[in-house]
Amino acid sequence: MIRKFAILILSLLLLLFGMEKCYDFFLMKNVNLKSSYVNTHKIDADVLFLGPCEPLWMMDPDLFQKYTGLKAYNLSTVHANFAENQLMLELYLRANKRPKYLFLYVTGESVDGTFNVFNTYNFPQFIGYHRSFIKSIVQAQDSSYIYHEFFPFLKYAYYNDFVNFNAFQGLKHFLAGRSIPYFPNGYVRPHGIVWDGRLERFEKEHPKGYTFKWAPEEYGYLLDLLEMGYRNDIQIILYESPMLNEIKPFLLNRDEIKNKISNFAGEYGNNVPYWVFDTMKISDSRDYFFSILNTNNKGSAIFNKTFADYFNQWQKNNSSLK
Amino acid sequence: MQFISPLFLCFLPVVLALYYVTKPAFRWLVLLLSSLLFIGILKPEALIVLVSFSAFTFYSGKLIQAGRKYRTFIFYSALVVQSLSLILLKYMESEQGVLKLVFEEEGYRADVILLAAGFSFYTLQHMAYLADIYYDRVQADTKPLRFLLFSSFFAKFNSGPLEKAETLIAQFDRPPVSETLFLQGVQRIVLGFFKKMVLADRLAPIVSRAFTAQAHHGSLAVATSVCLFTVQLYFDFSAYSDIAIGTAKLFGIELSENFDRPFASLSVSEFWRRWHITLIRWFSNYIYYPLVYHFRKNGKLAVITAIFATFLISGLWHGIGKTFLIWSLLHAFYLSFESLTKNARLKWRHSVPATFYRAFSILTTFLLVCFSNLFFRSADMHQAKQLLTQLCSSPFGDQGFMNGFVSALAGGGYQEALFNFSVTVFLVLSFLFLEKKILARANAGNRGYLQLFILLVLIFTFGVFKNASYFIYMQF
Repeated sequence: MIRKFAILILSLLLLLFGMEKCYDFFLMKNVNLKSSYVNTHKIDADVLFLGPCEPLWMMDPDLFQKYTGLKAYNLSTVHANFAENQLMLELYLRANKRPKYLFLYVTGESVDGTFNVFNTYNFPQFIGYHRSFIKSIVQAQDSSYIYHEFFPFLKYAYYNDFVNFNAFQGLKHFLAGRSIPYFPNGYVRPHGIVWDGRLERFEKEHPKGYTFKWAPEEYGYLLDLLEMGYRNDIQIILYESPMLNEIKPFLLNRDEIKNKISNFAGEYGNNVPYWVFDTMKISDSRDYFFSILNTNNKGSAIFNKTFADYFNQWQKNNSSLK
Repeated sequence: MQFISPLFLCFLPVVLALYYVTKPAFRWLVLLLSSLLFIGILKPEALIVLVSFSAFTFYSGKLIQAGRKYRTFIFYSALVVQSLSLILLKYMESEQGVLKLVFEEEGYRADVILLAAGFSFYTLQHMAYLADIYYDRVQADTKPLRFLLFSSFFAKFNSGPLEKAETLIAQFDRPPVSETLFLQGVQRIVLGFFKKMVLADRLAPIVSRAFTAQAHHGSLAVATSVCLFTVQLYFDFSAYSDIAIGTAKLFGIELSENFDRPFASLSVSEFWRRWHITLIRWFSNYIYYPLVYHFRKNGKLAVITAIFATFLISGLWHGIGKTFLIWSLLHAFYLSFESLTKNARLKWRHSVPATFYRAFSILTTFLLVCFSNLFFRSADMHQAKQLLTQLCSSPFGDQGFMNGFVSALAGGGYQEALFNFSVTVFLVLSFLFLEKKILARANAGNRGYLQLFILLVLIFTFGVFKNASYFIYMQF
């Protein structure tokens, strides 16, 4: 019996180890998985948009290129916090030339720590058994994930609901030789959502309003991101896109947080601008939004134009100053 | 300590090693100490409750056996104390719990559940023990520590199976485990982990979508979720039983089976002979049969009365609340109907093709059980009413098949969500289809290494490791 058990366990370990290697390979081949794609393909954009779902669903690099002439790529991922933003940038820089500009989405939600999270399942294919920068951030953000070190394949088993599909899709992409992702410029155009009801839920959950907390951990990762930009000679620009005016009365310390971000950006070497677009006219009407912080396609088209114009103007002013 | 936890996976081999290096005469002591540790890790205060009640039952048993004049008084007093404690616990656990009203503390309910971990189960075993002594079916046990082990044995502590003291205590002194029994144990444990992590926990989010955000669902999605809850409950609880039975087998102890493919039942009464078998056996032996015997002169009425009384108590045992009351009344109604129409149904059975009868009976039984479970799962009557209203609405709400049904259950129309949903449905259906063979192999002992291997691979590939949920029956 002991011999049979030993054979069974050994076979299992071998199979799991093999599966782990296959998943490592197929996930890297999945061109729809942004973390893998930016790390394995040449994008070489001049401009990057980085942040959580708001820039992901709002900032269209093609429109930006049309208005500014600069090649852009949307590096944002859903619900991502600054730590995840940092890893995405790190992975991008490993395979691509440094961008000139990086637009980082920063708002009260970003520094609060309860709205965005670290999505570990975007990165297991980059985590080995040895120490690495990626691993250190993953472990800091998701401490329970260290279990993966004890057993082969456990790093995938832990998040298999997210990873299995990506691995199978990676296999498909590998077999088909696919190299262009479903969203080639990283921008995910929202479709089919008319109104997501988040405003109503938010008002119900916080009838007396919500006070943002300034999370030191988020602030720390924001600082790391700025450092990373500085080290790589990337001009980082913090920005806040339009939000629906209806929500503003429920965000009790929004101005205070905005000032804090502005002061912080100003203090940081005086070369990190903070652009806020919350006074745009589209903020008055739900016609331009499908959620509190997300414009619909109609709203995005207007915002992208305004944003690009503002950038052009800023660039002009900046060059004349120089 | 939870069965599905890294801690348990470390705990079990250590206890096993200690068990086998200890002299056979003292092995029960290893089991006792490890059981107390198991409970202490779950909630230290639960140990005090357990030891107090075990001592109370043990010495009550001795007094009942020794006493001549006062044995009836002692027996009924002990039963009253145990019943009241159980009712108090259920009341504290319920939303209207008295302490909740006083303290209004968050997480209070979870605290009570942990404080009284296993209480519902060992109290029933204690009651049975006292009844058996009172009716001279067994002798009172003479060794208090072994009785404590009977109450606390970690393999069955949290949610059964319910065992009789004399059968379990006798096994604590048995010779070492056989190779076959050990292998059976491993296979049952792995099967339990598979059922819980791959089937029950993958079904859990699909089910909870209907029970938490039901406002958006059409009738077909709600009906499917309610049915899936029944399947989830089965996998969840039978997984617990498999792990409990398997764990006990590793120590050479055989616990009673708790499930026997209940979804293959041709009637609700058969369903109850296949579902939570040890609890139903308890209710039958200590409530149903005594009542039928007591009212035997009333013929069918005695049976109906006994059915209603048994299910009302069963509902109360599950929890205090209108939803459990309706659940129990529905089952009492089903069984009474079956009892009253037995001859007519038998006649009908012979008049239709056997395959049709079988398919029709299985489906009807399943749907009746699922309907009752709508109340079992609902947090309160408000939710139950809301779900019933939705069951009467249009099949896909105001959307089409994909959005109103598939995406509603899958948690979105994204490819990942649809992929995960499809995998879950495929695994669940495949398992139900192959269940008889899988269980037979798991119980075969020397065969089944390949099955063990496949189950382990499936656990690693599709099991829920992150945010694994508690066993549902822990709350009872």
